[in-house]
Amino acid sequence: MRFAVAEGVLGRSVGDDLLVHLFETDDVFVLNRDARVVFEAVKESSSVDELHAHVASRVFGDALELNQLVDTALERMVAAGILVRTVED
Amino acid sequence: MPDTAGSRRLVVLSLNPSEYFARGEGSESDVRGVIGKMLPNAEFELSAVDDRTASSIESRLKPPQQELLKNLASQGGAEGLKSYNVKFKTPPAAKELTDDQLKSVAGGALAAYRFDPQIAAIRRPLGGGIGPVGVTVGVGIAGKF
Repeated sequence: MRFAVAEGVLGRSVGDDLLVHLFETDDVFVLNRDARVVFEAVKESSSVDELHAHVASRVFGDALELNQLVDTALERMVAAGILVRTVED
Repeated sequence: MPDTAGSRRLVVLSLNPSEYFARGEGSESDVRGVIGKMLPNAEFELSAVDDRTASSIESRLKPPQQELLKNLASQGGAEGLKSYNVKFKTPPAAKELTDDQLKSVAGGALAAYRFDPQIAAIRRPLGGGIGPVGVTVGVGIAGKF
């Protein structure tokens, strides 16, 4: 399993934050800097492990705790319609 | 692979607020450089540890942390992984740090900054919220919405 940015999602930087617009529903979300790190990591990763490693390479902290925080953020973004789960390549 | 480019596997796990255990690829100076870049204002001592010491330190980790190390080893290339003990010397004097410094320091008592991804929906006023817009819908219904 992996995560991908849903179709019709447009991001725009606002300072450190990222404003995300979902064309499908016209919903708008603001991702803070840390959530943005996760969002950007999704675009550059082809697996969840790679995604975890990508975030860990940018944030210093306990790897396990980081992974859990990243997983929670991913679930929230899926629930919001920003991300979708896909089968790993 | 040269030490200055590419990606590497590195896992950092907390033992207590001022002590971490790290295991990963690359030379000691390389790992020191990675941590130094992540925490440019934190003073720390990084020392490579032998297998026996590493095992002793690992026993102090929480079970899920130990599981993470097993997963790292199971990905292959375990012989290239080295273990390090990281001890921070920087006092947790958060009020003496600037905002930028606070954001760059993480980990236990040093963690004035904590990784905290937040996603918030923005509620917009009904009708688009851009201001009065003249709209004509069908025949005979016109006005400002």
